[in-house]
Amino acid sequence: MWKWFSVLGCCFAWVTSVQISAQQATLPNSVQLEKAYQQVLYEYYQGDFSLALTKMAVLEQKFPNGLTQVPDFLSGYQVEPELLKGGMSLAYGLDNQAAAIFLRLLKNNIQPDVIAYSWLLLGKTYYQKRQFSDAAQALQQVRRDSADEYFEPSTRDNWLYMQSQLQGFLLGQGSDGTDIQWLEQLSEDSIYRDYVQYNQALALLQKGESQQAMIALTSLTNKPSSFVSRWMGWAEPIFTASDEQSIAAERAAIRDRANLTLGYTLLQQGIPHQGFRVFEKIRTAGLDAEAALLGYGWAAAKKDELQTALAIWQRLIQMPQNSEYTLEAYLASAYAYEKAFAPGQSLQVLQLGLERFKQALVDLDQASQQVEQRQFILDLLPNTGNSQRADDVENAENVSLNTKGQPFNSAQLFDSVSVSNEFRTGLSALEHTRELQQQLQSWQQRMQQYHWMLDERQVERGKRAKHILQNSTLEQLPALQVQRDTLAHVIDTAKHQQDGQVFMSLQSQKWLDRINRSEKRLATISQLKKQLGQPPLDDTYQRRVERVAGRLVWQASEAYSANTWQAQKALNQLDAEIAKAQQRQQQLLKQLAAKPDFAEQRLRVSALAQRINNKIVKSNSLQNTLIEQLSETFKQFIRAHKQKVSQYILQAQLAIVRLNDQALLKDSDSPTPLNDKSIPEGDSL
Amino acid sequence: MSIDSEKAPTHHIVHGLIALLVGFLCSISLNLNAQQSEPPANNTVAEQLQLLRQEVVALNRDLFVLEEDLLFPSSTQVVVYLSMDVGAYFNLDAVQLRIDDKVVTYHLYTEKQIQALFKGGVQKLHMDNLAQGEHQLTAFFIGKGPQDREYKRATSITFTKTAEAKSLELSIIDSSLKQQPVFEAIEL
Repeated sequence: MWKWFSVLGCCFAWVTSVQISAQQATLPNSVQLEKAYQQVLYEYYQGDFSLALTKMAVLEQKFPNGLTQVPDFLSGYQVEPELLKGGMSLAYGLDNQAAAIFLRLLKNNIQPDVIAYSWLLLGKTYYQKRQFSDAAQALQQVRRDSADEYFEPSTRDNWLYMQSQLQGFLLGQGSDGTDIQWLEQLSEDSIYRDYVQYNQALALLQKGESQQAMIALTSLTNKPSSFVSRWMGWAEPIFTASDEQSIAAERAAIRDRANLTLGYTLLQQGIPHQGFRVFEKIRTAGLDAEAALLGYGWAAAKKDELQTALAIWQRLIQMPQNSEYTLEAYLASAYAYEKAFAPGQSLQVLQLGLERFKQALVDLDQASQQVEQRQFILDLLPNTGNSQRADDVENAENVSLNTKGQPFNSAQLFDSVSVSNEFRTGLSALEHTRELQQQLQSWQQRMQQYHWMLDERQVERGKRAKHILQNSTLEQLPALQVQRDTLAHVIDTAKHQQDGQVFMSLQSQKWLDRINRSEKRLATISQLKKQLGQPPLDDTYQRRVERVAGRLVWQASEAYSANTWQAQKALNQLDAEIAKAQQRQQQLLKQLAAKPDFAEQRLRVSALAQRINNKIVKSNSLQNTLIEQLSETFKQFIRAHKQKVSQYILQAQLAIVRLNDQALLKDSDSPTPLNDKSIPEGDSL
Repeated sequence: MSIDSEKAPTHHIVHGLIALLVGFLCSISLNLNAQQSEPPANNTVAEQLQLLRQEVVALNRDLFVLEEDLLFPSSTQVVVYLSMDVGAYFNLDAVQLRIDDKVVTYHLYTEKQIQALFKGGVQKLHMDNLAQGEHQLTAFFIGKGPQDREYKRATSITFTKTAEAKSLELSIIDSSLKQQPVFEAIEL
């Protein structure tokens, strides 16, 4: 019976020890996983999606199911790791990967917050991919109460804005009711309110409901600027890319645009007085300044303030840039002169206009040649690092394009190219490709260094092995072990013989030697005295020596226990040191015995270097395509502008012919010739 | 010429104005209308770029792993992480790290980095190669403490480097009990 109990006890002890060792083995892994995931969070919350995704990939390689094992304190109340990966993929432009993740989450997950975010981000992914119908359907899946409960205000506003933009695709919903709903649901200080309100006004204008459109636009333009608060939700880096300063600039630009639309609408409705006041509100430094000046002039002309209109248009005419507004100002001025019964001046303006239009065509041809050059497009890229903010990049583009357009008097045209969706997407893609290429080139250099490093390491390893062999380092330990064993033997013998003299101190041993020498000397003296027939030495000498010797032996015997204990302790310490040295030596031997993996490492480096080269080739080819596309975008804009200028030429020529015709009619009615500024032959139709 | 034809210039210009207005409205209708009508012209390029990005992420992963294997083999590797609690009592500006009384890292923090730490992120502050044996790590935390006062504190740990990779963590924790920040250094 006792035998069985003892066997059972042994089994229990073994199982417990196995469990403990298993726990000890998994513990460092879970900590490593936790730290790896927290590093991903660190990069993600800084908005560095590329590095965050790379670290996520490293995590997934080290821990294949790691994302499902992230501790609750990191995933539970913050964000589901898979959802985070999808969000990062979306923000980094990996739309396909993001969509696959969200669809998988929607299939497998039942947590309401994860489902709400998955639909939202899936909708945003489709929206970015321009699959508007799918985007509308996905966004519609998010219930309003879920959005209120789980989304941060900025995220919720983005969800509402996307839906308002996609309303045409939302199934079974008309545009009227939903328009108002979007606006009511958006936060008071959201920038999206301005966009939605403006789009609503445009929709009303397109439907012919001008009065309501004007009310909406007036409300938008009179809205006071409000401070935009910031939220701290996990999805903030995906949805928020602008700071307060750029939001204020964005608001000002929308207000300008709304004022411009309102101004022209008022003109169309025959309310030039109000239109005049509205145009006045538009900033002269904004993108819409020239369009506003043209409209401002028209408002003045409609009010019959022709002098004012002419002065405004004259300002436009004097601008060196050949925008459609400056060019159109010639036609408008000619109209005003004609209306003011000054056909001669009208003709003069038209002829000046014709010259300007033709010069504009020449400039546009030059610009067209310029944009065909690869360097022209490359110069548009900001010389910045990865950390540059998106809005800074955009500003850099605007400034750069505006400056580049000035030599061809096409700054405004280049500005319109810079704000076009196609151009911005293309330039952003090009910029990203360049960044990838720089990154790859930097890795390429490092790969070369790694090759050298491996060579050096191999040489150093050889040197170390040689050094160990020469110094016989590994043979020193057995010799020490022999010495230790001899000492141990001495101690054992002393213990066995109860011989305290072995453990005597060095000083006592010297004294004992002196006593032995004294005894020998006394014996020699006694013998010599005996030979010479002299009387023997007094025995006090002998007794004295014996007394001292006895005292030393007695002291050694007294200290025997303490000395034995000390000697044993010293021996144990020596044993521990030797054990440590043995352990180290074993490790060293293990390391020396391990086959050098230089060849494998070299292979790894070479394979990666090859992959880098392939990616560089791919990135080069992609860059070339993007540059061609961007050049083509420019040329499309230039072609469209040239077409407009040709139209202006045609209109000016027609007006000149008509004015000449009128002058001829008058000439034929009156005896004196009135007009000597007839159209040159080359310009006739 | 008829009266109608004499009025033609005015009509012509007004038509121009209307054409301008219509053209203008069409051109300014925000993004979506244009997007809806436009086919995705550079779809192939976008797909190519996406693929390249994906491949570069995978490549970067392999390169990071290789770099760590080559430069910091586990027999000598020591990693120091930094984490931060809510930060009510301490606003971190910089951290100086010394190993065996030698300054190995000095890091100044941006607002974004601080926010990332508050939200659960952990910074890999330092990675080094150290010989096996005993070492001392000392971290100096510089920033603003309670009542916005200049605050500099240090924490130290002695650890033994073995043949396995060693990970240490520096933590800044808010102690509501002491109404003070607490700085800790632990072995992971």
